[in-house]
Amino acid sequence: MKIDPEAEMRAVLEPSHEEVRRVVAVALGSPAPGPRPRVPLMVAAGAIAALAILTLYIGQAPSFTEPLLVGPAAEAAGRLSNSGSVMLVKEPSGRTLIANRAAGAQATDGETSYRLMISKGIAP
Amino acid sequence: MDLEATVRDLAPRLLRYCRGRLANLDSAEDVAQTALMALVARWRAVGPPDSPVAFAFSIARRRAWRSALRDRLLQPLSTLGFRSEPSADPIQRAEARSELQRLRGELQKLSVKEREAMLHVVAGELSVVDAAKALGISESALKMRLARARQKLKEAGR
Repeated sequence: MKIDPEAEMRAVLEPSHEEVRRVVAVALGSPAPGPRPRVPLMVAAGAIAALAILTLYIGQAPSFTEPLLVGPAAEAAGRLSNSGSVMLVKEPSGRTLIANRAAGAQATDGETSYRLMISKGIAP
Repeated sequence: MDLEATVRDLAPRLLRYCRGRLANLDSAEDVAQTALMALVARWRAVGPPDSPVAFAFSIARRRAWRSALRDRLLQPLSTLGFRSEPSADPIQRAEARSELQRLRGELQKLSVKEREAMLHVVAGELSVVDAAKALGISESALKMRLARARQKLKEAGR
């Protein structure tokens, strides 16, 4: 009788009942997938929302391309902390402005003349 | 389609495929188990795939490739023998071992593509449609590989 070589191949590769039983038991006993993790998604959504808010805030902030008028409270604070690149200056008309001191635009407080680079920023 | 019945039907077929594919029988069982677990997880999460057979065999093929590479890299040749079944008769065990070695020797004469085709269709008993899907090739390409493999094995057997 001629033996089918492919059936013979299957017979040689045939696993034991014990192996089959083990594999089936483990596969069917594997825990059901729980709900998908929400935390990373929420974190990602939160980060995107924060970025969007920040972008909107910066976009809507008054342009600092020219000196801005500030109130008397900011003026008082500015006089005390007139350091770094941001400073308060007083216009000849008496208005107080907040400006970025670097190089560029000219501003004066009546007594001192400042060379100012007015960059983007937020008015107090 | 019933998950449990599918798993019970696929388990021996996947094990046969993995035993033909991998020299290390522990790795073969691990790969078959992983493929079935992936099928079960997918089934329970979003329902059965279009072809559960092709799904499980695709995973088994990828895992087997990785496992073979890992075995080759990490394990000394002496450990790539055949696992001893403690309950089996030593004579039967030795016979099975030599038969498996002989078969693997024959399969080594085929190219990787032809061997995969043979193992899917003959050992895994996949239909041509499912095997082609699992291997990601057309049915005609699979048939050609099978024909070449059968021819080579026939010539080697003479």
